[in-house]
Amino acid sequence: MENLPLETFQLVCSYCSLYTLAHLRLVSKSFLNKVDGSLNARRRQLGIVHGKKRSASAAAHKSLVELKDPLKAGYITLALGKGRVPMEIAFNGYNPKYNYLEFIQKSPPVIVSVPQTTAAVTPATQGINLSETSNPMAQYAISELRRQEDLEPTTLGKLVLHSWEQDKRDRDANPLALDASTVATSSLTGASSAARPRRGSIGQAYAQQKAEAKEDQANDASYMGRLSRAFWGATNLSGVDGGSSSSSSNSAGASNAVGSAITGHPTPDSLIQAAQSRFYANDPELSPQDRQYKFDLRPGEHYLGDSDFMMKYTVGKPIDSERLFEVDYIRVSWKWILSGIGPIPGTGRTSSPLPSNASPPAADIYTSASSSPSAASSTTTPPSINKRLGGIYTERVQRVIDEVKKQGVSKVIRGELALQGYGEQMLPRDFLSVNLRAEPVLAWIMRMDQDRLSGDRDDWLEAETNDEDDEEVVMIVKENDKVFDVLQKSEQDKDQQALEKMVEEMKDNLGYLTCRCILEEMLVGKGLSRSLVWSVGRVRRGLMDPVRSLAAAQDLLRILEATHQQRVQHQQQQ
Amino acid sequence: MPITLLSLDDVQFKVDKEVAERSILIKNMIEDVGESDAPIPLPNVSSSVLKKVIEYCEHHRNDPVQTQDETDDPRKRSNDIEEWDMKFMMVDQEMLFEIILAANYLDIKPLLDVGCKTVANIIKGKTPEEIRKVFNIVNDFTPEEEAQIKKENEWAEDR
Repeated sequence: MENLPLETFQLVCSYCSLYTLAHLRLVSKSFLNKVDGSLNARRRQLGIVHGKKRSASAAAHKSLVELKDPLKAGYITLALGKGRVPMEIAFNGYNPKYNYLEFIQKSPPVIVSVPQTTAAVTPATQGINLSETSNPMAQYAISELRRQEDLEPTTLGKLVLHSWEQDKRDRDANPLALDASTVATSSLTGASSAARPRRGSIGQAYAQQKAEAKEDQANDASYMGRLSRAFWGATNLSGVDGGSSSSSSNSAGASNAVGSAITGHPTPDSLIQAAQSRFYANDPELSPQDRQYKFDLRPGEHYLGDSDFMMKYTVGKPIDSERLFEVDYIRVSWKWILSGIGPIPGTGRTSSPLPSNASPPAADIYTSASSSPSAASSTTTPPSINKRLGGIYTERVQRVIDEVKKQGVSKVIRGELALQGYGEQMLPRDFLSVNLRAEPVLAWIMRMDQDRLSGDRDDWLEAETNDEDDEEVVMIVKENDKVFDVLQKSEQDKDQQALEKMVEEMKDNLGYLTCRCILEEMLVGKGLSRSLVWSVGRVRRGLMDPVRSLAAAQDLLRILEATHQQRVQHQQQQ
Repeated sequence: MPITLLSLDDVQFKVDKEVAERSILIKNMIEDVGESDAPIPLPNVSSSVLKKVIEYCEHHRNDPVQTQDETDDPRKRSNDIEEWDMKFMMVDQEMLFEIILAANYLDIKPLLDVGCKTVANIIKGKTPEEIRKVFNIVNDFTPEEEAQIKKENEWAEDR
């Protein structure tokens, strides 16, 4: 197979899903290079200019949207809120320099509704008096519920990676059911489907989604309360999900179970019991595909992600209570691709979202200091094979870490927290390492792609040098190189300035510390899986909110400390 | 009018023009040179492989020519191989790759597609180590790189 011509090898790759390609690139160096090349060769054939989607004209955008992709190796669906039609974000290409696979939205932007009121929370908090209990977990739960009252417009979204293996497995498991993934695939081709709005009929899609949005508003009216009851009242919550229609039956099941179990509002005792069951038990039911995030619906550009997954999305200005939501891109690691599928038939292998001991690349925040590749980040040479097998954006992540150390952000935060009596026993890992997931950090990490510049230069040269004689070509190349180098230098300077500014802001904002960050670290500190936070996050929107002040962080830490003590007591009792 | 094809090992095959013209390469040659009794040399294809290729072209002689839209179908799947093609491709690995190379050289897109789909099916569901074994490929990653791979994959093993 190694002797196949490159184009033929690429043709073989075109019949493989991303999951298969992920394995194929681990066979040998030659395979690695060929597979990586194959992922972009097709993009060049299609004439897709990377990263120019937003500046492209409407016609160009349309042509991009309608491109027939000869290598539809996989796609991601994103379901925002309950019951909405999932968006399809199709595979677009592979960036070897930053080692990410990119997906872009090929369906029209969707309309999301923003609830006008958060009165839905009130029923869940009715009848609970904060003074009823001195238990910190209950206090936390209640205060979180009440804090929802000034909740900023957000919605939960669930991401599902679709690959052929997964689709086949789903079909095998339920051959009679309508294959949602097939429907999704056909919509990408432009094939008609009565069940879903089609590309090219945005008006129809708008009408349908508007109707759904109204329905959602009604659903949203009781959404948080329902979720809260479901979470706090049930112990088996793997199916509780606000983001996916495919799991709506599970969600309903969970809600029903809660209804019969508690027949009303949760009591402090039930809150504590449910919380303990979630915090103290390692839940094996967490599905690799239960990747749920909270999406900020304020107008503008937003960034979201973690160490293996980063995305940018744009929310349009509100009209009434509706806003257009569009995914600019989703960038994921090969590891994320491998984790997006369950057991593979015949292989005896199984995947999970993250290893129980998984840690983001920034876990090496101190140990990797001596090998800072920040200098290399300005080069356009492809990364080593080792890096290409590792995480995404490793060089830029390292630059953030270097800048954080340079500006002493870590010491400041630790110092202030230490003054309040919170030491490393509470947060055994570096605070800042987890905050590489914060929106401003992700925005900087993804703000500039050297590869795009170099790629564009090649395209540019190719276009400019067509039909010219050799002498003129040499002149054009030299001049273009000079112009390009100046532009690149200017971009690099801007990039560095943006980094410094971002880290300064990080310093002023407690490292963009979030409740989720703290909880994850607490879970790890307790020897539990970090992925447990998914269970918590899916029902506790507030957990992913920023901590807006040092006092808020201290309050949260105090509660978590009490929780930790409770855990010890719980274990002693057992 | 029959066309004579000459293989690498000087074996001549007489085939109908419509069969020979399943190959775009041969079709173009006939158009360029004009019809003639002289055999068309195919120096990259051995007689055993050419025989298989002709068998394929004979079977598909009445198939409509694929349009660009069809070849760019985004719903490309490796499991949509016709039964006859599947049986046709049940050959040893060496012959399989020889057919693919011949299809590539002769520019017979449907045959090339079937060959590539067959290879994709062989790969599908296999671990990197299994793929190495099947295709007799040497793992040339350094021990450090190998360790990195194992580290990345250990979470995916059965737990």
